[in-house]
Amino acid sequence: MATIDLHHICKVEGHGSLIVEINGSKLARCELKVVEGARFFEGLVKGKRYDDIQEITSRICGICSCAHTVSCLQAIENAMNVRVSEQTRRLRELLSVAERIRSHATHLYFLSLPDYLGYESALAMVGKYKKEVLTALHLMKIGNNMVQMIGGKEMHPFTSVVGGFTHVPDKKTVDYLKKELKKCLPEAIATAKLFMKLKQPDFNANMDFICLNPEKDAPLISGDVISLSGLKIRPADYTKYIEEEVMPYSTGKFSKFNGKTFCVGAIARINNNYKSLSKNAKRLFEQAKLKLPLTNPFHNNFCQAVELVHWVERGIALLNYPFKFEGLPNINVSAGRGVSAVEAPRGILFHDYTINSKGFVEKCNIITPTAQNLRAIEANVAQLIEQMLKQKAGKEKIIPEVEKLIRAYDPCFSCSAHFLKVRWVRK
Amino acid sequence: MAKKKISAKKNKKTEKTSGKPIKTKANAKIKASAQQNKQAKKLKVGIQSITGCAGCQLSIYFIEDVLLELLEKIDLVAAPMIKEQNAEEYDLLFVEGSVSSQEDLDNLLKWRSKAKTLVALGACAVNGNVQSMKHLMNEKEVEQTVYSKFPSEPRLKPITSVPIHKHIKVDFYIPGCPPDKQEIVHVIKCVLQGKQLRVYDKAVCHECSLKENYCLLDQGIECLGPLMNGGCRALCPSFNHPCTGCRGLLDDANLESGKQVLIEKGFDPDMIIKRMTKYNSLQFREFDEKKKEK
Repeated sequence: MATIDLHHICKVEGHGSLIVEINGSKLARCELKVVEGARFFEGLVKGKRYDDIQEITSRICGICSCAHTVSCLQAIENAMNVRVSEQTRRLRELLSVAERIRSHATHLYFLSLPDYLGYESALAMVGKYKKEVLTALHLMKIGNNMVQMIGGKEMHPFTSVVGGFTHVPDKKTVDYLKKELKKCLPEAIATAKLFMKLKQPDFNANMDFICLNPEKDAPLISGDVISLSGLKIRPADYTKYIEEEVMPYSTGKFSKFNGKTFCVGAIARINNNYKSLSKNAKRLFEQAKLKLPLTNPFHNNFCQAVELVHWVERGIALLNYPFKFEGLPNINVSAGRGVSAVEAPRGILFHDYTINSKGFVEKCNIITPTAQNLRAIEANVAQLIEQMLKQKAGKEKIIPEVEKLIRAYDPCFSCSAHFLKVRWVRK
Repeated sequence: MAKKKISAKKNKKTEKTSGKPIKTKANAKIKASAQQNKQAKKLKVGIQSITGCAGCQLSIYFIEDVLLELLEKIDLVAAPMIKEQNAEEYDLLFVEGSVSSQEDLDNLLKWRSKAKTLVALGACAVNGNVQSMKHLMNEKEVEQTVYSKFPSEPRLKPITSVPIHKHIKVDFYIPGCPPDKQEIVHVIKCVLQGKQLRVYDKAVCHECSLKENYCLLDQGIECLGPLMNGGCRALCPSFNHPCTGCRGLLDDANLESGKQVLIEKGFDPDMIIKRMTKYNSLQFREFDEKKKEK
């Protein structure tokens, strides 16, 4: 029997590995492992006061710290019945938009593109594809600048607190960001056109797609949970539908939605919410001549590129607002349970807190997008290997495709640990 | 194992009094390796990570403006997050993350043996960060809150997070969560030019007053600025947010008097300790132990 052992899967965020065993021409075992050390966040926040939680949970992830920040704060506010102003919601959505721009740009150009162009890394592409690398760096820069100017730091933003913001960008900053975002629009469009041209393997997965309902005012940070199969639930009811399971080989838990394998992320958002995309984004999607719903997870890359255009435009629109400092928030502590679901770059992120009458956390549950995707990735990898074995493909052909598939999901193993090396065992 | 302050960090005091950079083994080594590289090949730089959020290494890739220029000067031989091919010999190695599993420890020991100069990058590697709060809590209870049954594979065996200097010798520290990008560029530049590395060792209040910020403590906000390492340009207080100490406790922080001041201002003592220990549980515990010895 042959084993594929991707002991450390490169070009993904965090530490993951994949072990595949092949018996003759049959797949005997396929295990996707998150090997990121466990940090026990849900346990750590127990007994901490409401105003310390965001800072702790934001540390779960570097690349999506804004999503963790916003989800955490909203869940605590829901638990304590704190209402926030329209400006606060707008600034939080802007943080999420900014993070999306830098996260998608980093994933698309630095993690995914080298696979398609046949380079070992984006840095090796500089010789022939300098323009593309510079585009990536510019998109990352504007995303970073936005998070920094609104959130205080590029990672783990701190100005957003329970009830509001400790600092609001002044008019000069807002105008600067607007100007810079406008410059980014042609770059985002070029990115979508670039990813449209990439040839994707012929692959179809049978799974459900979950995302947040776009009908509310701020689709990134609020809304009901909807599925392509037609379910619509309130975020607070997530425990009835999402079932988590600990696997003996992974610090990341595996989940099912309503008993089914499912996926979250850009592809799920476009499958469910195509109508709410901006005109430019829709036009680009149409040019690709793809049929909705998309069932090939490799298209997640293109979906992210289309989203990039949409969110740059949304960002410009959100900045049209007379931001004004509203003073430090005054909070009345009260007991309760609060849940918040937001769309992180990689999919839905749930934060759930139970707070006691003194404002201390009694219970906490967090489900990250990658944890929701792990089962789908594992199932897709197994299916892809079986498909390729039938086509009599060898190890040297299978491994790169498997890695490409895993990367298309843009997994974040830091988040899910609670992942990528591939091991190939042939018996 | 007691915390060994080594190399650059060890010499803070001398540096403070003389104001001049001091020769340390690490610095001498850096100088030697830099000179070697001038003659021969480019500086072999690696970026490796153990358990953490990967934010520190992202901070390196986010040096958008000078990244390509910087990469021309060095040879980035390992960065598994963005590279497929990764070498295992380094002149300068950045390590992010805290030791949190058996695999982390095995990797760390391997990297140390292959690196001429090893830099701890970010709050996890320097002080253990938020995940090290588990040391001050009921560890079993914390674990059971998250995993009803912990994954059985031996390489995943959890270690309650400790900073990397608990297991290996560290040549230089870049604190912060995340670390300042400019500081990372500065360190690489210093190594390239064979210059001595210096540690910033003034309180957050120092830069905060230079910026002429209104004191948050005076306004009744629980700011830990007086006790914490600066070098962050007093970022949080400048945005009306109290310092919570992501760059670690000052080596000579007067913890007792700090606590007293905060209690006198009417803050909950239990709460203050929870804040002070957020990023620096182990450092805090060592301060306590030192006090008992006296």
